[in-house]
Amino acid sequence: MDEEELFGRLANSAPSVAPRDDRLGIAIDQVVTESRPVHRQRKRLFVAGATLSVMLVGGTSAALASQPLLEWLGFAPDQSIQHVNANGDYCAAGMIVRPEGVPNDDASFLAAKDIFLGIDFNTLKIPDAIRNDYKYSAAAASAKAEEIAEYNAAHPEATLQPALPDPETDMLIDTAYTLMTDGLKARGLDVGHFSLEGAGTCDEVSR
Amino acid sequence: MTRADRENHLETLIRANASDLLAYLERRIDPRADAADVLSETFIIAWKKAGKAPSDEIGGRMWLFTIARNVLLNARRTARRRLAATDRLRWELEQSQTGTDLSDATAVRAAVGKLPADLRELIELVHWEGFSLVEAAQITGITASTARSRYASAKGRLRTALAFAPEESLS
Repeated sequence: MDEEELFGRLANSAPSVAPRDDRLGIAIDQVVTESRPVHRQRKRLFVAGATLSVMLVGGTSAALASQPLLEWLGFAPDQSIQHVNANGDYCAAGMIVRPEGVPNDDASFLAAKDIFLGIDFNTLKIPDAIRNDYKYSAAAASAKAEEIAEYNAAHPEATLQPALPDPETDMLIDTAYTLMTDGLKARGLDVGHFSLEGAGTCDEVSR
Repeated sequence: MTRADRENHLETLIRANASDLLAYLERRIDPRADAADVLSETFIIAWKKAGKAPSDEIGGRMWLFTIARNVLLNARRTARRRLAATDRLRWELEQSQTGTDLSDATAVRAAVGKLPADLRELIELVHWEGFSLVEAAQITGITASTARSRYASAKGRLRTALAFAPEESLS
């Protein structure tokens, strides 16, 4: 038996596998998607309580975000917001739309970014569904504070430094995210092709 | 490369190789539906090692198959983590029909099955999965020269077995 015949017979001896149809493709795709770590959520909010001696001077464009805020954020935000919260603290946050597993010219990602850049945070109304969400309630804040206190009691060597609560910033980012996903759905685009990342700080010094 | 870049690269790599990885596992696991569990475990481990994923496509492919092979070898010893989507993939594999093997394929497979494990694995990787001998060596963790030696031995044994044993007696 020559080599060519042997190789042909070996190649033909491979056990058959399931046909690669659409249904199997979707099932494989779902396993891939679910295997990705949880921290890759589509929306990421991070509001920290670190003191930052910065006060934004108005407007909502990235160009108006000061250099200290840019350095603290670690990215150049697509939009930044600022307001005085219920405690009288001055809060600033930066937000950026990022592609999720797609190239930078992906249609869904570009549409999401376009919608986001069109949002005027000065006039943005927070819907009741978000404003009344439990996660923004006093009870939720109290429960979180209790969890942190318990953790700190158990870990005196490495206590958590809880963020100053600023539900208004979180609600504004949540509202923006909802507008983006609603807009994409209305256009028949994929809401999984982008993430909205936000980070902010409330600064008693600059009050 | 930022963490986001690394993870996007890995997801692209996984998606590009997922079907081939599943085929690799389907050919080696009985019942075939269990390949879904090993596949999901392979991906979970790949994500845990995301920082070590080679940046090039070929290197990344070899890396993923090496992980899949190791998961396969350990499959009977470890409790596997399950993703919800694994159940759907299992169901799809259970429902799918595969073609009927030709008698010669059955005979050749029987001859391959009688090879020592280290020789058999090289033959399967090269002739069933389409890897080069060097790539197969990388996946199995041996040197290229060792792989060449084993491969030559395997071919010699197969020639003898298939030349002197009629397919009827092997099937």
